[in-house]
Amino acid sequence: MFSKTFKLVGIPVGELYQAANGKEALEILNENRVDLVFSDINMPVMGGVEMIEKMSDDGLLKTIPVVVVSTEGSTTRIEQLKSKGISAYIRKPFTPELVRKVVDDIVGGLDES
Amino acid sequence: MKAEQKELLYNVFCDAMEKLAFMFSEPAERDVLSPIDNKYVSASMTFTGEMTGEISITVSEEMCIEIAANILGVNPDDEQAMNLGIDSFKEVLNVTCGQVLTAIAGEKALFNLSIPEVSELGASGWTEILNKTETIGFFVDEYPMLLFFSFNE
Repeated sequence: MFSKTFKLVGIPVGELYQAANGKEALEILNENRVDLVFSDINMPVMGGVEMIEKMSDDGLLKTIPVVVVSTEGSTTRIEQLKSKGISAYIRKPFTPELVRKVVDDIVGGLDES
Repeated sequence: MKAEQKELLYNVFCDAMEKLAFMFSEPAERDVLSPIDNKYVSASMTFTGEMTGEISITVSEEMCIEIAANILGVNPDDEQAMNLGIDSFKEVLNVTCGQVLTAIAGEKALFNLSIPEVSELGASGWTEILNKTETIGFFVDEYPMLLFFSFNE
């Protein structure tokens, strides 16, 4: 879905890695250079919150911005995630334009690309 | 199910389907939702927190592929839609569940959601869900769909 969203709003992506859960995502992050992470909360094996905590404990991974994309609308949950250092929170269902704005706010330079 | 909860479910589900899958839904009465197929899939998940309960969506296999095609922006006979039908269907349930819980319990309420699980059903399974009092029916782009929502406060 993100691949389609990025294309729709013209977000240039060099390489898009996809993981089925937090554990797989951490493996990808440890083996590749990644500029931005989009993660759900509710995933099998390892959920998004645990993945973010493990990234925070890693000197290198904690520098990568994380955008949580979730169906949960609880402001309590969003505040918890922000306290863990996430860069943004997008609630599903989202519009491609919102994704573009969030990416631009974090990475910058989309309008010049 | 209370009339106001029923209306809330209708509104939340229709909005989620429109925004996520670009599909338009309309409420349907039980008597026009008898099984017309023998291959259905049902996605269900549970939630705990300020309320505890279960939500499920049941559709035909064909509808599953249609949902995936719409979410991915491809034709229903595209390989991607065939392969991702179940995942897309789970995503529809996941989004609906999150939206329903916020609409009922408010924005501060915190819930733990299970991972959606999918099972295959025949016509009798469809009828069993249709006959539950907590089930409401829809037509989504002319496909029948059942939404079951049950909770304890």
